[in-house]
Amino acid sequence: MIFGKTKLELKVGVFVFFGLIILSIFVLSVGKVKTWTSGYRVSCVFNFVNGIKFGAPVRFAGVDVGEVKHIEFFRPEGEQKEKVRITCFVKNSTKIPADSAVWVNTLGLLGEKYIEIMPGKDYSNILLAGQSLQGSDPLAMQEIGEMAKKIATDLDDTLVKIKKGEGTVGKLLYDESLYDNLNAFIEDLKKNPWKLFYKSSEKK
Amino acid sequence: MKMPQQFFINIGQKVFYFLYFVGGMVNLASQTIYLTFMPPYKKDRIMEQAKKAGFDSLPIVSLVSLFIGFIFALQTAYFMQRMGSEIYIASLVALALVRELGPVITALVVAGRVGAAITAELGSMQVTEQIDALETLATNPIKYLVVPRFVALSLMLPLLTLYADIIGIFGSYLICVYKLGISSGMYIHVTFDALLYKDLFTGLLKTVFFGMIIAFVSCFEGFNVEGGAEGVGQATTRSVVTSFILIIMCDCFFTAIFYFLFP
Amino acid sequence: MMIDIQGVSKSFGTHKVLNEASLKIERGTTCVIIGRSGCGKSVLLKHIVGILHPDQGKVFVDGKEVSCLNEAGMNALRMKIGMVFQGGALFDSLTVGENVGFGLIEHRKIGQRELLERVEESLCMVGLCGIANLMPSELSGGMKKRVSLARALCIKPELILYDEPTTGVDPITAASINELIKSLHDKLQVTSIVVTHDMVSAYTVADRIAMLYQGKIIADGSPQEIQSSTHPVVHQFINGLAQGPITETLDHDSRIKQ
Repeated sequence: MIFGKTKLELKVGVFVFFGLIILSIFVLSVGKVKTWTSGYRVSCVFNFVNGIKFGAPVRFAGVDVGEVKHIEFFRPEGEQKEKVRITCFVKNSTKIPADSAVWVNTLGLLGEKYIEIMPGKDYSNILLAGQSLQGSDPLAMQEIGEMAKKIATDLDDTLVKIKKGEGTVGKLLYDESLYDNLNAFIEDLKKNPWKLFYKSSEKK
Repeated sequence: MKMPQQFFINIGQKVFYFLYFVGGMVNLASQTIYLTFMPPYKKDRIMEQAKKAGFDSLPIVSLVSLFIGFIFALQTAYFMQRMGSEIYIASLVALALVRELGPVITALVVAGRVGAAITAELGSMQVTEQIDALETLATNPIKYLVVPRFVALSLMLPLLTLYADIIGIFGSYLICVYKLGISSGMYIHVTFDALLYKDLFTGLLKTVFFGMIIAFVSCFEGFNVEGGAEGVGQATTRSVVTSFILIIMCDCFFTAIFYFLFP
Repeated sequence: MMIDIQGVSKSFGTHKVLNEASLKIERGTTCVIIGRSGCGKSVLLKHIVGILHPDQGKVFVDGKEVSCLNEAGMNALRMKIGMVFQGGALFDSLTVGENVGFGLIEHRKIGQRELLERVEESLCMVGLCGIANLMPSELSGGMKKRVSLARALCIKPELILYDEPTTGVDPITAASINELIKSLHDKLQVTSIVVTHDMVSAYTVADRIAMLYQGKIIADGSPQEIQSSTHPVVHQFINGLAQGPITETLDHDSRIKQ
């Protein structure tokens, strides 16, 4: 408007100002590990990582302390097999003993993968930035399945043997001679209780 | 006898009009973007359009997104209560609103409200020769009429979407806290825990393009009005329908792109 | 400012509106173009300001070909031309004052005070002092036309184009508009082109009259020459006869369509 100002600019100003406030609320509230938190990087070496992804959480003693920053293959000197090195970013306040155990854990049976660090006892020897931990390999679902199958087969075999009366337990359960012997023994004892106190002359 | 012939002529005309529309839109868009960066810059007209597109649309956008928040909370509660995981209503509502519902609903409301108004305004200007008058006064109608609307819509729509997001989440918060008995702090925590920067970013980026679509379609239809008041009415309808279709198509396109780019 | 229209043709879709129309207008004259409604008079005007571009032929204004000008040249040309539209074509989102001062606000660096003075001066010239703060929707049709004329005058043009300035207003307003056109021509020495089908107006203001028929200029001369023309089409038009070659062609056309 050329002839006289209106309250136009005020209205637009109010609108934009509150819009930007909402934007900053979102920006500040969203995002879990703040990018401006200071921290350091440690790496963990695995043979198998079960599909862990960039950005997966890192938990130390069950508390979220960081996230996975980098995943790469490497070949340690003098070894034939490729290994996986996972670089984790953890907050400065976290002190990880060098003898901590590390493995890839799963939330629930099929849930999100994350890096679990179980603190060790050696707090005199704390992990520094860039140092690495040797990870224990998680079990692949397939391996768990195979193991379960093997256990089931073994159990099955045992049961069959027990049923057939083979082996100690089988004989105990299915061989009646033991029962007969015991019965005869007790009956004999009832008839001649003195036998309990009878000392064989041979032992003398 | 003449039926099949007429059928093909009709199809041919439709294709012809469609190509005309595409070409016209590209022409208008390229001229507008070029002129946006050419001086002189008139901030007053942009402010005026920003008020019309942003401030004046706020009540209806707030109302719609508040009810969408209510509805979405109740609808998800129906299933989530069966699963015994009511707390995830908060995450679902937050994700759905910020990624999809907020941007699209805001864009559709603005297309219906502001886009229709732009087409009607420019259409009657065309009918009453005001656009020709602008040209005879050595003023480029695209610079004078389209650029402010284009700039205002593509800047105001993301802001409006932010309002829609927060008000929708608030609506769902009311339902969850006062009807379903979820604790207030827990709700807010879960909401923001579910959101990532990319959700916010992709949601807002889309709306910039929605704003451009609304501006271009409504101005294009407005400029191409023929035949008086009836023509203005038809053009307004066409403008809203075309904007709706293009917004939904563009949304699908962006969702696919973001899905593959930022998995 | 001299205008030279050379064999301009223009079609909209399949309808050929102008068909090799040619017309030459000298500096400082008032030329009236007459013709039936919808015969392409307004289209011809729009070619002169470069809103429309000819399919064939050339339009020269001041020796420059209009459709070959670049943007800066076109703007410079348009700042010397004022156009008065049929319905006024006032911008209804702006006040009367903003409408009148539009060209100056957009293109000339000019102080607020001087701007207000120029706006008031232009409005007073058309006899509408002190309405600068009204909105166009508050004005009557005749006032709109006069405000539109004030808007054209405000940039101090060398050429003014009038598109049916007296159509749809009462005879008294029409007479005052005619007087206005005449006095502007006498006072400011501007070249004027008036498109009309109102013969009273044409005889009042014209130095020259040209008749447009079927896309061509079929007659061109002083008002006396036109009045005494023996051309049957011109004769029928200026005397407003129901019977004659114009209506016969239309009947013929409609018979063919049937």
